[in-house]
Amino acid sequence: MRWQIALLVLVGMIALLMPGMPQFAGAQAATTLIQGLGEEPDNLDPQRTTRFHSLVVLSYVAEPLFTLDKNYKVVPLLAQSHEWSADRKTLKVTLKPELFFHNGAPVTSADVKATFERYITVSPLSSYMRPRTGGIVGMDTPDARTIIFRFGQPKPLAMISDLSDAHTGILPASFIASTPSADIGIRALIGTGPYIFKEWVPGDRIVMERFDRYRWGPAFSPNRGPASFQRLVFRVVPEDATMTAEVAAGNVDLTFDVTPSGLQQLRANPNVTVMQAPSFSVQYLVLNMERWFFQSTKVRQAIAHSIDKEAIARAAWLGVGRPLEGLISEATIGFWPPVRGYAYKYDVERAKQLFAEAGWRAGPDGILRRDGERFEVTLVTFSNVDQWRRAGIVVQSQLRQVGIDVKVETAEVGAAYDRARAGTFDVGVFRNTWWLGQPYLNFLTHSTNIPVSNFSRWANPELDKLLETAGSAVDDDERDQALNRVQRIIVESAVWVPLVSNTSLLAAKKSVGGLEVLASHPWWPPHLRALALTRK
Amino acid sequence: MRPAHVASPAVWTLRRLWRHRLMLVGALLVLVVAAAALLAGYLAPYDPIALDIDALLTPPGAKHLFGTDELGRDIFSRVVYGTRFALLIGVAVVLIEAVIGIMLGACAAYFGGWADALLMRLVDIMLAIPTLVLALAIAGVLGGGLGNMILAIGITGWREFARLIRGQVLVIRTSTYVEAARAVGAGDARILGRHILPNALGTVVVYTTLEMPAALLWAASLSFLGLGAQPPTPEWGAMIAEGRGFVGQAWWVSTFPGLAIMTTVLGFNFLGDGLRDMLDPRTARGL
Repeated sequence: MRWQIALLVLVGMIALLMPGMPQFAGAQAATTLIQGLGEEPDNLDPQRTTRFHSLVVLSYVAEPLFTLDKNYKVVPLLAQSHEWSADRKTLKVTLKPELFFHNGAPVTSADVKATFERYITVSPLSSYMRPRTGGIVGMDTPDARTIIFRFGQPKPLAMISDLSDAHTGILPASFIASTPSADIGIRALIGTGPYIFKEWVPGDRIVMERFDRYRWGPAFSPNRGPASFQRLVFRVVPEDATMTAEVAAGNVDLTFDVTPSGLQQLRANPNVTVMQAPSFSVQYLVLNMERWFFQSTKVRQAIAHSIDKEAIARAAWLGVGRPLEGLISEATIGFWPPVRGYAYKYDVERAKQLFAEAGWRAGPDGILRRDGERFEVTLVTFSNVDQWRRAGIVVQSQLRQVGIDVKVETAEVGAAYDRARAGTFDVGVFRNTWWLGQPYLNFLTHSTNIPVSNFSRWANPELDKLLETAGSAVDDDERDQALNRVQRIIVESAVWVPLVSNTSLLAAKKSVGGLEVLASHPWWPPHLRALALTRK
Repeated sequence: MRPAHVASPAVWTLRRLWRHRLMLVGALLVLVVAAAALLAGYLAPYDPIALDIDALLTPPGAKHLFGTDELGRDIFSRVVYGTRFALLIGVAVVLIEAVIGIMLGACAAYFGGWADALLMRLVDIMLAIPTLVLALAIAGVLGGGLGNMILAIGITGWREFARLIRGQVLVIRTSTYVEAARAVGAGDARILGRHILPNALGTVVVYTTLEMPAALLWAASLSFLGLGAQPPTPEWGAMIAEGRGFVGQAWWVSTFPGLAIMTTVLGFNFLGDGLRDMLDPRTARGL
């Protein structure tokens, strides 16, 4: 009798505990998708964040007017149609009928206007659209479904660069007006996307629920809405080996944050599907131009010649990445193949010769010296992303070979970028991801983006001007020419040294269906991630 | 003539040592580690930070005794050079702990009264916070790096030293020779420095050998968590951390530095236990 009571109490306790840990409850598994997230977002505010993981997660909740298909063609999302003026200074966009926010309110042109006003005011990524750079000087809303953007200068890239970008995810005007800006994307987020933001437990998980009224998925998605899974749980697993173990154990349904070392292990697991795709994500090295020793072009070229990208791809990326010659990858729109001819080849002898020409002589310890000063630099990179920490060590060893004493200082991603912005580094190994060349290169190299995203702190008027032409010339050829020239200047300057281009990786349980739909699209867009996946 | 049943001093010492053979093993292990640290340059077949891109994750074999890590570095060489960092960390941490602990503990006991109350409550408060958490917090504030890590552990670990010394000084303070010194007019500093502390140091030496392995383990934990030695320092904790992504396919990357930590910690523990048994009359077995 006594043990029966004990059993009853035990069962009762387990039953009581079940709702407290939804991600482990078997009963809900059929309608819940658990996605492993290798890095916790800083916030889910479309207009404030610049972090990749934030963008990925918030894309399930907030949607821009347009999106891109697999050929990088702009296709309507919230928009139904658009119309350009001949001078590319006026763009009229008509919204689809029957669009709703998660709070039930219909989407109107006033919401679009309020969102873009917020975008050009608060987003660090909106430089192309700001009035100061000839961006949005006015927005008219003749009726609830029509919005007319008026630009100060021709903005031929507006649709592909900004209006298709999740950073312009449309939020309700009333929500923007009534919510403190710092709370948006942290305590609350209201959008039109296939999933509703429910809860964020910092350091643990982000929970979303299906938006049942969702019907406006992009044309390339076989399922236009609503999504198949009732619940979506993003579990934050910042530690690589833990993520691999969680996927192998089946505690995570899928993740896009597999590391190369995990990939080899998961490939051998019969319960796990692994996929690879080209990616826009690049790993690059940047020199802090405020340091006197980097002022010499010869020194910078010598450094570029000292770096063996092939070795980094093999050792740091375990063969998953590919050596990168330009600052954008082949997958990015606007990539100019001849840039390969301008990249500095790995050549230690040439590097030594250039250092000598610049007045640096090796001291008794093998370290270069000039005017009594040892060539010592601090290299900052990410501690919690293996491929970056290892790349830092490989670069350190390669620079040591030519006589530079490199001290590697690793920090968590956010802290590393804080140091990059504060300028407390000499050499940085960082990353970036974008599908479109002009805004990406503008972000990394234009002088107005010092120190937010141009960590080199190098202002080059010629480069600035070309970047602006590449973004504003009405003539397609003129824009392309300018962007090609930009790529050449960047590589030749050796202020930035492109290292390795990434590969997108995915690991999923065999029971997750719809992966072939995802694979049909070269870069696995957020809408397919949200709408195409099912439980087999 | 000595009675037949009393052994010669040499035999007596040997017998005594034989009773403490674990201590001998410990001393031997510590000696090996110290020798490895001194002779690392001769023992290590490779440069511990030299990469070999053509030999990534090579299993243990004739060319690489302990195999290579994910960047092709020779793990045997790294483990050998790691002894230097292990000893440096151990000695430096214990030194910091001992200096702070002895000063505060001795002052508390010698002066008594409110000084004692204040200092010992401080120790109580410090003891209420888990060591690793406190060390993590301090290392987090100071930032990563070997020096900061040593400082963080040192600042955390002096509490036990203070207690130990306080107990010793309390006993010695009342002894006749201290009273005699006071009677002839010696100052506080002289009494503490010349008469009390030298007599309390025996215990400190024993405790030091026992504290060393603890310091090593804390250092390994902090390095594992990324708050210790920065790459490419061949620090054992950091090496384990770097290898943990490969445990499934290359067990040797984390295993050998782990064994190195185990061996060193065991060595110091055996040595410390033995010393305590030999020097502390209360735990001494019939000799």
